[in-house]
Amino acid sequence: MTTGLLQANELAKSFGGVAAVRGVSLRVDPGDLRCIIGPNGAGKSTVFNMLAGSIRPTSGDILFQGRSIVGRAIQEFARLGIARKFQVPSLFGSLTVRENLDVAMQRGPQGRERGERIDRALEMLELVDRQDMRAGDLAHGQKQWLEIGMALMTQPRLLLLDEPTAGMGPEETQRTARLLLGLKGQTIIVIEHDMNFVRALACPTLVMHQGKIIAEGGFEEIERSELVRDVYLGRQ
Amino acid sequence: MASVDSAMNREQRGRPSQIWVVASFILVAGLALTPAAIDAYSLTVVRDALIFGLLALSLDYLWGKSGLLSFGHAAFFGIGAYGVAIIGPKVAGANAALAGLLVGEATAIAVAGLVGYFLIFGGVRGPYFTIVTLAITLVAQHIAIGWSRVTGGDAGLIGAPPPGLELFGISYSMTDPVEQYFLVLAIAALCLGSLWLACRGHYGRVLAAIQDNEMRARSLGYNTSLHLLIVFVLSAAMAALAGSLYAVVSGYVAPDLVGLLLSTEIIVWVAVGGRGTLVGPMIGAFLIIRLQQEVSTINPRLWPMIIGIFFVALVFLFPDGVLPILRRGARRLIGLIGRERRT
Repeated sequence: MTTGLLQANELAKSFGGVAAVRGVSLRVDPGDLRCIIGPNGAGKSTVFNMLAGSIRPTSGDILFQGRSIVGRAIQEFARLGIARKFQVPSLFGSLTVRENLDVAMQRGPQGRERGERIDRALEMLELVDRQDMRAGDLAHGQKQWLEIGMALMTQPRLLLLDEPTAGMGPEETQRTARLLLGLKGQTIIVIEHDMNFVRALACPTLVMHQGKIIAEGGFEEIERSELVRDVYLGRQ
Repeated sequence: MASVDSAMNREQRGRPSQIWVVASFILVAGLALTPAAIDAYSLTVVRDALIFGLLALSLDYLWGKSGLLSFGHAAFFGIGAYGVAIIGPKVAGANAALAGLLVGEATAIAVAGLVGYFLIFGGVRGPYFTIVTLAITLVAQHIAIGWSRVTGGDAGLIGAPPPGLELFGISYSMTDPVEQYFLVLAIAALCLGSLWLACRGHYGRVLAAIQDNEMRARSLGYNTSLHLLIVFVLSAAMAALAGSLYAVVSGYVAPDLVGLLLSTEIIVWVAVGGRGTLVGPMIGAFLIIRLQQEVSTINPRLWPMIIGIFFVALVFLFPDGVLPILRRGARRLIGLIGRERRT
């Protein structure tokens, strides 16, 4: 049996006796786009933080390209090719948009090729005319896009996005979905609770509730599920 | 107005703008001509101010570029100075000062590396970092005063050897004050130039990124702790270099070179000159030392009080330093003039 690009086995995390995540397993293959949804407090962000290396699981294992990565330093996760976008935009506010993208490319080409790669990213993010603006002065949605762009500059094998549309209006949300769908071949895991966004992505989806995965399947299937609706409407 | 905006943008990227480059050149050129214009005593004053400018530069590299504020830089300065004053007289020949310098540098790098490693890799940042580095200065001061058999205690040490070099049988000792002045000027300009060059490109942006949001920089794959440790050690080495220079050109050292007052003064120089601008803190050191002399002619006890009050004001009223306030004022002035012209 192959382990895919990323495989999590029976991940569990408790904070001072409170079990935030209880036995979550998932597997992602190269090129997959996968969503993890669930109401607030379902443990989505905890799973995300374990996958990104900022929280160490209480038990369970995470295999990346077949090797266990639990307990490694955060910068090593980045070097393995796991890039993350934080929930709250966290940019380098005093640097310009262009400089943010430059710093985000920790390695990568030098000279002209480097500049061209930044140019392409600016175009994709539709931030060409904002490139010399301080990142801290961008509008909220633009900050989120810049963050996605920064995560992409490392040409990651796996892109982890934590609520990329948090605080966005409907139009910006749709644009974010288009941006992600445009990244053909990029492996992405998205944590989200905005149903409209996940609907626009129309990808295989995991539903979490009270620290466990309660449903898994295509989005349409998930949306029709009685159980999922109950969870979202708080009936269960 | 567009050109003003873009100039501001460049400023805000954390790089010294063209104005600073031009200012640095004028400054260095002016300083190169100074010996012809002033008397021997005034020249030593300018020379010492340059050395303290180098010390301010070393702190600005750490505080301005990486965001870590150290109260320990007087200790590193003192280690460099005492290294020369203790080791130098024990070594015969023209290489005496160099031997002392190397011992001082090695000690400063070892202390900064050791303390810095445990602090920075231990996740100590912000005010906590500052407080622990304060302890370095206190310990160094106690050693300088208490270990009098070696350090000369309160009296300090005289007889630090002048700068010199002995190589392949050719020996040269630099005893002429004007030559010494040029040595100091050359080293200060070299340090300023190389730091400026290093920080204007990708490296400077990485440091700015770490200062803005260290967690984010780490998640992009930067070993931020290693970056900060390297900056801390290099900065301490530069402070020790300034200390060694001070000892070789003045010929004596005293415990006030390691003291808390000096540590506070360095911070004030950097804050006044403009944190992160590199050349600014050197100018700041010049201006404040000049002011100190004026004040001391009125009453020598007045100065520590003034610097203390100023420091408190700095923390509460303008934590970003004096320069941004002046810059804002200048911008408003430019804006006013612009409006006058249009109407």
